[in-house]
Amino acid sequence: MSRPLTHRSGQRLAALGATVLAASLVLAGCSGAAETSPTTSTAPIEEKDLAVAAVSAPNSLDPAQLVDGQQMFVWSAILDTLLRKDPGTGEILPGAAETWEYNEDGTELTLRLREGMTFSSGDPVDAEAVVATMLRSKETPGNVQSRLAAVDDVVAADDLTVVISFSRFDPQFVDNLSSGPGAIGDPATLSAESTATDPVGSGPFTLDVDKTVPGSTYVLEKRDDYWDADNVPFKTLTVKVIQDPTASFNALQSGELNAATVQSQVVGQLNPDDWNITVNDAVAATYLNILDRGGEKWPALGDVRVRQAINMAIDRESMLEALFSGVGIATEQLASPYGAIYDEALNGTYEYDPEEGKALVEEAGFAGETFQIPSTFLTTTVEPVLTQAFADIGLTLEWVTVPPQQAQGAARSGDYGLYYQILGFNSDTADLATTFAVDGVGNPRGYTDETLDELWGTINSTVAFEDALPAYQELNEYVVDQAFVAPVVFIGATWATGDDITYVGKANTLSTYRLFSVTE
Amino acid sequence: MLVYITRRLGAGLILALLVTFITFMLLSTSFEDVALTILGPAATPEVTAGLMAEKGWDRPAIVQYFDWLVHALQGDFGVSVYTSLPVAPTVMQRLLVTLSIIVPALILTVILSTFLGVWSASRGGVVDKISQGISLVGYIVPGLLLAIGLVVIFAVQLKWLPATGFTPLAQDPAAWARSITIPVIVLTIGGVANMAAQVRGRMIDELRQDYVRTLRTRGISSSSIVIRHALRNAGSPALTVMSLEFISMFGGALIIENVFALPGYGSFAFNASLQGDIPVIMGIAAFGVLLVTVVNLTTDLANGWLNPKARVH
Repeated sequence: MSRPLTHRSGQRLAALGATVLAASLVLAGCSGAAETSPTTSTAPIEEKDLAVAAVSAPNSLDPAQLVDGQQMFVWSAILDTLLRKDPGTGEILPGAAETWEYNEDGTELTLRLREGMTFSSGDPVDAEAVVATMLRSKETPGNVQSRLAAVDDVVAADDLTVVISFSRFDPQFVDNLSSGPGAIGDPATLSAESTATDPVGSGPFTLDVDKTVPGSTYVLEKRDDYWDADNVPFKTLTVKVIQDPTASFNALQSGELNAATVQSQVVGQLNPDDWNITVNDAVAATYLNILDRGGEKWPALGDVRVRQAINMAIDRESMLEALFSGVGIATEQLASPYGAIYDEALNGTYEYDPEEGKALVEEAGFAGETFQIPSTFLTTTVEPVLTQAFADIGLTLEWVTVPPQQAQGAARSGDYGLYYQILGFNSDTADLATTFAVDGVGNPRGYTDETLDELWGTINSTVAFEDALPAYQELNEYVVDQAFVAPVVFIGATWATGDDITYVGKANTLSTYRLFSVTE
Repeated sequence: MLVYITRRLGAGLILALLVTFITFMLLSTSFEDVALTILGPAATPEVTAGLMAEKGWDRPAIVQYFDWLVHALQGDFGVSVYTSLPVAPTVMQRLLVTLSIIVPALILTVILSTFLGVWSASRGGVVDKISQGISLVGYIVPGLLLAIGLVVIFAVQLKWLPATGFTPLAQDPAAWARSITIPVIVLTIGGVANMAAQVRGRMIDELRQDYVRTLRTRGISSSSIVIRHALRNAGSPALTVMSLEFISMFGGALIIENVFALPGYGSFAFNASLQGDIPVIMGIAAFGVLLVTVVNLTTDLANGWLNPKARVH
């Protein structure tokens, strides 16, 4: 569902993207191995300068404080991660770790590092560095910490072998090693003040502090001594922090950027001879999360008929066209359409039918119920539509203004039965867990039932993803049937790239330079 | 004069205390939300409580405020809870970016406004109408629209100037000048639109005064009357307008910084507020009050120099 639009669309991608696909290593649930580099050059390509827009500056470059999202453009260029993700398929690939293997019950993970890797300081990247970084991140309050919660201990079995032991099998852990929890810092400098702004890493780039204006422009220079330098097609990486889409578009047109997302309304202003336009139809899911699925505080929300009625009240196709400019996919499920769990057949479960919805609400005896819902900066455009949708089935939505910094707290507070969310895709193992697991962020009341218990029981004790897949698929079907959430659309993104650079992200949109390839 | 300055500084200090105290009390309701933002959505209540305790956010707000105040008075404004960067140097750095746009814009505004105001007040007729027309256009066209228009012409089409970004003066003076050109033009046009009419009005009033008629009868040249006498008298209220314009430009800088993706004070304050970065917000509030106090005091002193009668008050 990634749609290149211009005449350049058929051009062959250069070595990087193509060979990433060719050499991709299937995680196979319990183990992965690669004898060679994940990316192997087939022909030399001319290195380019990549200048990309990001909506947010990195808070901190300290491995313990890393935040994913577009902040990753900067930090992932400096700090190598143990594993990577294929930008096209989302499959886990070797990174600084060549191989990884779980024990039988998933309580021990053994990683084998590559030989000969160095930090930009010249220090060797070894098992001790991984141990030091991971244990420090586990002990330091920060965004990475919670994703290491299941880690009991990390030890270096030898110079290049790291063994991580867990209190329980964590199905998302290996995937997490391709983002913040998998970053490696130089233990010699981890506690230095400069780690937050100019860390010593083993990644493909180093920060050019003289040319960098913190919060505005980050300039990074390629390391020729990087272990995978042949597959880094950019000699410099410039990340410009631009929050305003018009400013970003102007910067693109003026030549200050050669890669940025653009609003679909203005794509036509870009000369197709100069720009590659690529649409990724699904980078995040938007949905109305029903926080009180058990009906503890709002009995109406505990009734499956009301939840199904809410799903029937939403005219997804119209919302996609009117509010998201048609870039995206209307959906009734949350699993990524690029993953193995997604089931096309489930779409159509809740056709837009407010009359049927109203009848269901009346049958359940909850006509006229009112629900308060947080109004945040993310909801302003959808509020009138959702309010009308609820009115159409005989329910009332009351939007309560919540400041941005209190939005997370509001969702978890138990004060609200509903919450409108936009959630970027993470991985097939994580996307449903986030919203439906008993300890999931999107399930603040910890709702569960017998079916959910049984399915999560299977998922959390099955180390190989392929073996757990039937349970994941059954879970997806069950949560759609029970209407635990009301999905709206998968949000898409339109990328414009110039200077023979192509956007290659599809199933994996982690914001790294690997989203871009160079055309010959 | 020393008593006057001391009194004004004292008033500024009380204002700073009030503003920072109220800001802190307003922020104190969201300490837990800030902890959640730092830790990420998956943090458990225990971990959140641990961080609250580690940061001292579980103490009574009043205690925390006085703790902050004692450190701030010693020049220690703490560190950002997100970036770990010290607040004071970061605020100063951002302030310099904004000042490097506002100060040139203000200087140009004063020069152009004075010229236009004096020109139209002393000449009248067609000249006056043209001058007022220029002011009116500058007043009517929204700054945002003007900014985008200038970017499209000078950055996108002609590629003479950058569309976004800021280069520090110390890094590359030429690139710095190019990076501030359009923002300065936008702020200047808005400033002139506001100030030229004020100068014109004051000058017209002055030129109608009896002392001007007397000076004319003594054969003193028109230019000397306008520049040496009338302008000096009209300058006092114009200075007040200028100080207000300076503060207004500071507020308007947020829009300009957003359009040009400049790492300035406005965008810094906006992002810190969104994140709830408590030490940074407090630093911004304190520096903001300090800045307004200094600008007002400087204006009053300049007024006193221009107009001896003002020194009495």
